[in-house]
Amino acid sequence: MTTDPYRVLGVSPTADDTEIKEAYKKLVKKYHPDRYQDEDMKDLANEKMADINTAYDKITEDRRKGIGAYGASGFRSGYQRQSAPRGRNTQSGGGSRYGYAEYNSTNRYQNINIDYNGVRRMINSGRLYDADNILNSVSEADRSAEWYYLKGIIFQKRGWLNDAYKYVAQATRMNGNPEYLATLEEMNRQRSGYMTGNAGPVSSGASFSDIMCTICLLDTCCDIDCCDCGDCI
Amino acid sequence: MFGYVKPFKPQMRVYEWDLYNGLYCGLCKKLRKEYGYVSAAMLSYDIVFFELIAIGLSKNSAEQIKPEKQVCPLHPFRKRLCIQCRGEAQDRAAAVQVILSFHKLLDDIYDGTVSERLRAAAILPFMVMPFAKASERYKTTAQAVSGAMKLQRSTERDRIRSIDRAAEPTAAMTAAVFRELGGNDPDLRSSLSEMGYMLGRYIYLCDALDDLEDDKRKGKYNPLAYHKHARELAKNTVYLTLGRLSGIYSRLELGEIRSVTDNIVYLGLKYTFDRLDGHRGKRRPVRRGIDR
Repeated sequence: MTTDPYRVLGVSPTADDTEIKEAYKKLVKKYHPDRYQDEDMKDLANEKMADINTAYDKITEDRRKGIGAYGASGFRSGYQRQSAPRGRNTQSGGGSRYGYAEYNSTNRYQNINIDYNGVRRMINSGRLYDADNILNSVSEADRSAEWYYLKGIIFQKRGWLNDAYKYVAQATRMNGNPEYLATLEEMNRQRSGYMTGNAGPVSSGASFSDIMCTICLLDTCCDIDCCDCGDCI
Repeated sequence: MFGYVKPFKPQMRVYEWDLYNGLYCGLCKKLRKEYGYVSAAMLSYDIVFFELIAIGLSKNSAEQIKPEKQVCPLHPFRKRLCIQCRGEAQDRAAAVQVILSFHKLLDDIYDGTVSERLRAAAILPFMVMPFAKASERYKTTAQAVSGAMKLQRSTERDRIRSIDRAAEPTAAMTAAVFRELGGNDPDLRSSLSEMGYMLGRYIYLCDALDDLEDDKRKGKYNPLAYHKHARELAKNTVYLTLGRLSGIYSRLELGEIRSVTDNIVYLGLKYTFDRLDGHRGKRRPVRRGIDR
């Protein structure tokens, strides 16, 4: 795709998610095919809508992946860039063993006074790329529990849940902040099988349905007499 | 694409089961009519879930479906319940299936075993025209899928160890497919996209675990092979993924069709995965059908 998605939507590449969404909604209103009676106009509007949707998807997808706006920041690949994997001294295993997370920025911030609240705001407004860049500029020695936590949240937002878990776990090991613990606990619950809104039976012990389905699964049914033992099921 | 998204029949109501089967039957008919026999033969259960979500998201979903009793060449003696769709859901599901099947064949040719390659090469000519037709209709979906397949190849070539990154192509692909159901609503688009992403992760991990022993033997790429406790890791990852998926799924407004999708999401997915997990070491192919 050669067209700049930001230009299609008419927003600046540094716009946050709400602004982009607003611009998108405005365009949808303007070009919605239902507004046009004429068939030709309708087709045209349909095409325009497809372009708008493609542009919008491109932006959201790029932001999820952590790809910055073209030209806006000069480089595009963000933390997808591979640097040589570096061993980490902590035994947590919580670090980036795969190299991609540690983007070796040459111009590191020398001070450790990172504006974590600013990073949080960026994460919330969907600017994962910018947030991640700021985090990556912190040298390894200066990485606090909050650093690991926010890094984990960025991974979670983009769907890389295993890395998210590692980072959040590392954050809680460093600092027992209730926020970190709550996030970790939620993840742990999910890891052991919890699903939101599950209306289905949580079976403890054998239920009729379990017994019935094990029988049909094994394709072998024991005699009625033996079914007290429990082993056959 | 792989047949890991299925309902758990023992917990289904009779009408739900009929509805599910009817949709499957309807899709098969639709594929046969519009894309030919070969496309119909490649129909998988996964796509029925996609159609269910599509129906659920459309307005007055109950009026969408049109059940009829019909016979078909596969079941010539008994009339079966076959559900056609009035809205776009079925058209879209059929097209997505064709696009996915085509890429599956390409993938088989690219890195399959000898027999898989032969089979794929024999079928592929019959899928070219259907694929062109489907991708003409759903351009963005076709684009997203081919992009994902490219990424998949580079992932396999680089033998990436991270499970998150290995799952990314499949996940991004399903995300793109589901996102299209959101129409012009940005919030719905993004939550469907995230749900699709999680579903793709699930499918990828099921497939990786299912093939683990085979891949190890043949030296083929499998991200789980790099990890010591592969099954444990796969289980934790899948459950974490499903937990995240359910969080998004539970907020979707799906109307009456929800009872069927609930069964698939809350019971079917986990059950299918646990059965892969169940037989350690011993390779037993998953039965592609649904347990009766």
